[in-house]
Amino acid sequence: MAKFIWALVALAGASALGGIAISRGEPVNSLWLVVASVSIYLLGFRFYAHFIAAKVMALDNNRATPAERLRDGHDFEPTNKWIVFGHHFAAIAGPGPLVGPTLAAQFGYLPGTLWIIVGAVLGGAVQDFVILFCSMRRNGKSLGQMAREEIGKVGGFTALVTVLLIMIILLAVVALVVVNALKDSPWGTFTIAATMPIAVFMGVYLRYWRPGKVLEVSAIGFVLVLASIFAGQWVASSPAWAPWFTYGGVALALAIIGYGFLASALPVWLLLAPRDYLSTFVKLGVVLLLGLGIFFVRPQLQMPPLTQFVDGTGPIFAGKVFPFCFITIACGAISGFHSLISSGTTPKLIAKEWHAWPVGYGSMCLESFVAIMAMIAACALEPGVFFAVNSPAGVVGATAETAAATISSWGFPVTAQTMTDMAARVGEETLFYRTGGAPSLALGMAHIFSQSIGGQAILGFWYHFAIMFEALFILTVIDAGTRVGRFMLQDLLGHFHAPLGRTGWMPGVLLTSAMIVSAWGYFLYQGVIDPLGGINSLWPLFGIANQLLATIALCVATTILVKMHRARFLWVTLTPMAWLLIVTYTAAWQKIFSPLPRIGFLAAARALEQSPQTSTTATLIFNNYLNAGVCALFLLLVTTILIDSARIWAGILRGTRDRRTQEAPFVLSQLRAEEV
Amino acid sequence: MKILQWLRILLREIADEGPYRRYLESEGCPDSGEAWRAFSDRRMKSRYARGRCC
Repeated sequence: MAKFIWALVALAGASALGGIAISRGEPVNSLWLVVASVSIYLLGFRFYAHFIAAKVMALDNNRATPAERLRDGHDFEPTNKWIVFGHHFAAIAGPGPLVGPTLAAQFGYLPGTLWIIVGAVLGGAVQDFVILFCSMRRNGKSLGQMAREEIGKVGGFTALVTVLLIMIILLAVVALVVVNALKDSPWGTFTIAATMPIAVFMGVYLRYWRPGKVLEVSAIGFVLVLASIFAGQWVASSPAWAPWFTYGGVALALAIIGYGFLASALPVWLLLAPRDYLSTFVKLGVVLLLGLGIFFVRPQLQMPPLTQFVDGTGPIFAGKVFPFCFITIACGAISGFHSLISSGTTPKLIAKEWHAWPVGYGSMCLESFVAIMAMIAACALEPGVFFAVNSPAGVVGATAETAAATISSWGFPVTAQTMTDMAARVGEETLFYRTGGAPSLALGMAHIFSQSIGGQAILGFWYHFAIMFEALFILTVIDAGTRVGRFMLQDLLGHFHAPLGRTGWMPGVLLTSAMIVSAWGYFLYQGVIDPLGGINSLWPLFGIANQLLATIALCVATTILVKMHRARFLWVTLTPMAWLLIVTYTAAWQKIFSPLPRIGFLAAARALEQSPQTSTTATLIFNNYLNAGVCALFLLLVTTILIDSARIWAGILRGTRDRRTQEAPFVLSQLRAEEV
Repeated sequence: MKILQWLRILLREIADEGPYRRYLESEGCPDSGEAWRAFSDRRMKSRYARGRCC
């Protein structure tokens, strides 16, 4: 019977995948994408992940996990597997799986969808699962610690520097997404500004008035945030108040930079923690709501399966479908950042080793499904509208009429009037040039939500609800990320001057906070002043960085498998790693050396050098050289780890090197069934 | 019904209310503002020392 059901699942998946792959010329219903992806996730989970769990990692429920052996009641605690699943999913789900697929929709829905599904099943979920296993067998150690212990000091130090650099690029690019979403939008800016006093109120409430009542204060915070969306509508329509909340890109960037500094330097309970709680609940709720919306509305995909932009001439970002589709969508398919979570809190909560199967592999499949939903939301929009929102003025023209004419000439008809009407319906002045992915995703989500609840009358509310949701948890990534970056920097600088390493020494806290904020703030600023919208240069840089972090994680995992006598199964980690190396090295090479100025940083700098020189041109030239340098540095760092690891693999396989690992010794599990 | 129960436990876990309850049990101290602040400070310190996901 079970075999028959799995055969049916396989048949459904194959039919749906075939249907979306061969469909041409007529809109496809989004349900096909849902059926194809869910079937393949189920098959991957049941068969491939089970094979990895049983044969490659040989999970053993008789072996006590760190949660049992080191049980301390808070950090280490054996926890029900579905609770850990939810916890882990909440931790890995960030803005990446929403924004990446939206941007990659410029190639059509097909390349991105296939990469999200295949990348997650064979790459992303495998990485998360294997790193979770490795950390679980090493008392919950972090990726950096494992790199240092299993590869060596060079590998460990390089991993730490790489993570810090990647964090800086990540923070800049997600901040840019928020800036572009809030630019000249008093409604959106008021709503997001209101979340800050709301977070401070929640912090004080939780600290002094009702200590420990996190769910209670989060519910109050959510009601206040909803009220701020309604208030934002009033502010935007008020001639007296609207100018107070209407800002351009540079002003918003400075505000976010200032916010990042405050969030890093202020006590964590005051701003960061309450916002983090609220953001997590809103995130889970909206993901659920979007899933239900897609299920009930079943929107048609208006975007064709493939657009002409697979040739590299896309308006949102330049570059051919290979390799750029594969670095644009990172978090929905494979994300190096997940390895930091899989080697963070999660391994300390796993009660039985086999629980890592649903937690590590299953959570990533769910995250990948979130990316599919984002792809559906973006592709359900009229393509003309999608490109009008996401294309920068530098590509489509500086007026609404020229932009509409340019986009229509690509075969995606849209008029300035259509965009004006739509902007009025969502309470915005304009929807042109809102690059970054967030506004078009919000528009797509608002259409799906409004068809489920409220109709067109409350489209504006849903649009700003979606913007609030995206900005809220992007800002959470920014404030938490800045703080984490500060700790990493203090850790590094502490080697040179001991007081700088002390997290309680205020001058050190202020100095390192300022350094981290300045670093990502500079990249944010360059994105804001970029005539091509910033996303064109920063998102690929972030994608390359994130995938290179995944390469490091898979390198660590491969080293551990070699040491575990699992050489015959190395293809499990080496296959996604090889693919990532091909994709990231090709993309990085093109971003540095392509002769086309829209793609290559050096070519862009040379083209700017030929144009009339102003202070802005000089800054843009410097920025392009800086981006090329950062890209090259990423490659150098990852190549160092790769060579270091390959040397160890070869030595072990030849028998000339010690294969001892840092795995914790076997201890028989004493957990009773009711404790799991 | 079981799903609702699971959801409640999950929300309490994400909200740190579950870990706080276990902290009180393991430390053998009653629920109080002081206890929450001690627990919360310690938990936040470890939470924000690790990388964040994108």
